Amino acid sequence: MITKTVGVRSKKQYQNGILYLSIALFVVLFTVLKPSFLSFSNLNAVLQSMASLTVLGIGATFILTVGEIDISNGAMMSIAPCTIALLIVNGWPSFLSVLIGLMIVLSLGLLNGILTARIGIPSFISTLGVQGIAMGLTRTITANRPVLLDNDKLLWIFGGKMGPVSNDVIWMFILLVVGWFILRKTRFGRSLHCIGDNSEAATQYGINVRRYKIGTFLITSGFIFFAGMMESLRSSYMRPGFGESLTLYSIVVALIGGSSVRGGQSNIFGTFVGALFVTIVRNGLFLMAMSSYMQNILIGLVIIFVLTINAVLENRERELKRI
Amino acid sequence: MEEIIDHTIQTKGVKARAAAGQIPNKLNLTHQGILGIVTVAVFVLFAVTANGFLSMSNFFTILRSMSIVTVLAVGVTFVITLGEIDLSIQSIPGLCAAIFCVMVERDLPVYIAIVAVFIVAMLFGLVNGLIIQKTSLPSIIITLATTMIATGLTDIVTEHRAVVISNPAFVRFFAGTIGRFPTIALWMLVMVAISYFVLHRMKFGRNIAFVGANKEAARYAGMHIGSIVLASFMLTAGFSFMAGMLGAAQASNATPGMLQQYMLTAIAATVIGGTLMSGGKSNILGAVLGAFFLAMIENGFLISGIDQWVLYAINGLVIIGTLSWRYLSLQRQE
Repeated sequence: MITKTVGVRSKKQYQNGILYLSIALFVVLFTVLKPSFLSFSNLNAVLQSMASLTVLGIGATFILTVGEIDISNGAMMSIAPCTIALLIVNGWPSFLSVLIGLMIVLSLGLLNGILTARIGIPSFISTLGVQGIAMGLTRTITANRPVLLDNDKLLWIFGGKMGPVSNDVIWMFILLVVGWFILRKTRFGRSLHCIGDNSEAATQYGINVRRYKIGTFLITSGFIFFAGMMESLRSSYMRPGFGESLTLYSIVVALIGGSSVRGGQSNIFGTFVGALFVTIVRNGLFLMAMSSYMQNILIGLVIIFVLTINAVLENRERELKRI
Repeated sequence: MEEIIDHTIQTKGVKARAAAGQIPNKLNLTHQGILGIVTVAVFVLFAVTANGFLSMSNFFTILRSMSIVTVLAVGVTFVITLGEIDLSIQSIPGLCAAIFCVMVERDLPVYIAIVAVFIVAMLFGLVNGLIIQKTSLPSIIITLATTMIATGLTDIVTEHRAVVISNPAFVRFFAGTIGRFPTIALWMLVMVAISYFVLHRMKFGRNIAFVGANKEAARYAGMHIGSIVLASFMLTAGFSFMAGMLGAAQASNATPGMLQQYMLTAIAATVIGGTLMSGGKSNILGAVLGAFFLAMIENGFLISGIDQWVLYAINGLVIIGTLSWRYLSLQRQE
């Protein structure tokens, strides 16, 4: 464990260094080509549009820490807002509807956890099944039509503004701190790293791996709930299935931020930086009126670039140590 | 050593495995056997309840709708057997179809277009394989990145429109009918036969399973792991190319985002069919059965007049149900 920590630290330094470098590169490039990129209103827009992606990325970071993967998170985003809107339309009190919406998301998270940790289906496939259930459920309850959310207070809490800063940005920072606190400052978070690093050793050490994994899926579904609320309550119409394309990006931002698919490594701040990077690329291309298709190519190239250089440097370091 | 024994048992087939006590149930039924029984049961159920399910033309419809998924499923089996995964089967077929259609639209000869597209697919397989082999990074990220690149290229090539081709010979060759039998299903059978031969009958296939079961042991046995990884990823890319050609012929156009929805179904079919995600064990015929099972359920419910979106949930439940049962029995075995 101790010897590995040393390697991990140096790896993180490289990876985040390359990521910061590429962010700086893109910021300079976009500013030179389009000076309005660095205006206050545009930076505010960047923060606002990265908020829900970041929160989803925090959830993905938790899952990656224990060495699993979750591809159902995007599909689970729209369930809570749609349910809440439907219940409020039918005259339910708003507090109760929010609670029920949260419960549905949590129970899907629990299902993910049970399938993966108890039954032992590889998480890629079990969350694929839950993704199908989530997609079908949202569309079935809404009959595949957008639903109007008629509750100003709720809309303000997640989509309103407090002075110049919009509320979802505030939520993003609160949840970042929460995620960082759980992963870095609690015993639970340390146990998650231990499980991801070596689940056999974690069992020997006395950690109930199954229960902790189920807990991780539950926490993640909490973050998914918030991400869904933040993303959809910007407008008053809840579209079923709105966040499905974000699944891929949520994993990408966690990965380029320094979490590892193999588990045992997490970096909440890195996830934030990763989301910042993805959003800057998207925003800059949009400002330059360049085709949005370039976005996928650029992000794909950066992933390969960042990770490959990182791996090569790490290999070299290991070779040098051997001599 | 255990892996080697395990491995020979696996290649010897069902009976040997049952004899070795690898299959826990009393009737000596394999996972595939039970999946087969369930398939027949569901088939009978739909034949009784769904009006119009039990007809030759509907059977051909099922075959048509499962063809591309099956080609992708048997293709990705190579990589999964290795213990890796290839997400780029999501967008390489679409990219192949797009480049092909644009080249044909510009009046280039069809065979040149096919060769060019094949080279593109192979390049993607080469890049995937080389990066994974050289850096030993997790394949899920690298192929995710190449997927994004291929998606972007597809958008650029098609310029965000549907590229329609009018080439009856090409369409007939890949997606016509012989008598009433759809050619696309014939191509599917050809691809299945190729993959079955390579994976279950050739030494190369056994090597893939060996590397997937235990990489260290394979290294000590003197295998050249790098080239096996590279070859597997290129094989998978080749099957993606074929899926792209079939898709282009079936729709006789190429649109951005086409064929993307088949990736998850293909991986699900492979795993339902008995291939282990952790590598080492594969079953091509199981993957075909899995693809047929999923296509049949979709078809049956659609004929029964169910809403399209309820199908998502049904698919999810079917995947979870089949695999829960399987992994529970694997657990009991341990």
